[in-house]
Amino acid sequence: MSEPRDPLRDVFAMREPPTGGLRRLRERLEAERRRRRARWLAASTALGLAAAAAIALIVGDADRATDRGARLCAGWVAQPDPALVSLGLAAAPPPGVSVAADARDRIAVQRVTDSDDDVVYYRLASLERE
Amino acid sequence: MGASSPSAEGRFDAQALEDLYVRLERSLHNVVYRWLWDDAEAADVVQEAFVKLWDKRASVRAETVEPFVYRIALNLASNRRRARKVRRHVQLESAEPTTEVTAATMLETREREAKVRAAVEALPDELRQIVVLTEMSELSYAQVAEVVGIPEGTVGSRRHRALAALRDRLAEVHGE
Repeated sequence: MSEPRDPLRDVFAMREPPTGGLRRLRERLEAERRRRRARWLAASTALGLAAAAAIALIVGDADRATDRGARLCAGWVAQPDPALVSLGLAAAPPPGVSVAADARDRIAVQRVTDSDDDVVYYRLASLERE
Repeated sequence: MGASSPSAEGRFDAQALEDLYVRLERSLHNVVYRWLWDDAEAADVVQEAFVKLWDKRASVRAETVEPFVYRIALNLASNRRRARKVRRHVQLESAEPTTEVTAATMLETREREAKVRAAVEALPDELRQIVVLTEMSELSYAQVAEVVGIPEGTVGSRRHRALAALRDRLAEVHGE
């Protein structure tokens, strides 16, 4: 007489998983690695581009500021030193204001003396009678 | 903990992951299968669990890696089950009646499987988790308790209740 069949035997009968599980896992991990690398590359490229754009903006602005400074500096350097002019060692600067030849009988120009040698004032007046 | 645990230095490297996979694949597959009742899907969930484990390798500890991977797998299986219920609900509503004829032997096997499945499915989740983990994995009661998040003492009592419920249910079915 055979033993009565345990009804739970069917419930807990072990099943075999499909073959090749480890190979599929390796492929899956590799695919995941590739996906991550691509995402990382995309993110770092975007970050790099953003950083490059920010640097270009900052450098461009600095360049413009330097240009302005250079121009101002050049203008300043072109002005001869008043001390050298007074000693006759440098040519006097050209007049800051010049009046056209045909207007000289109508407009008077007078340089105003000032203690600041770096700033030159001119006074303009009309000679025409009202 | 077996030889396939994280390395002696405590690092969980690719070799340790593969060793663990080889050791746990079968039991994990059987546990997950009792949630999804589909071999291909169960195999997929087991793999996904190991991919997730690899993602979290920095926080993996040698003494808890096994309960950890079981918990990941059970969570994934539960999520898929929920998603499938929704899909099935939609499919059933729109399904056309079929006239497929099945061979008698195949029908018999399927009927037996269906009865087993119905008996397991009839268990509440908290009992099913315990009975499947204790019967199909090599986890200790303490580790099962860690997977499920209950006191160790509760594992034994739930297992006892689950087995009794299964026997009753199957006896009813066989007695029909």
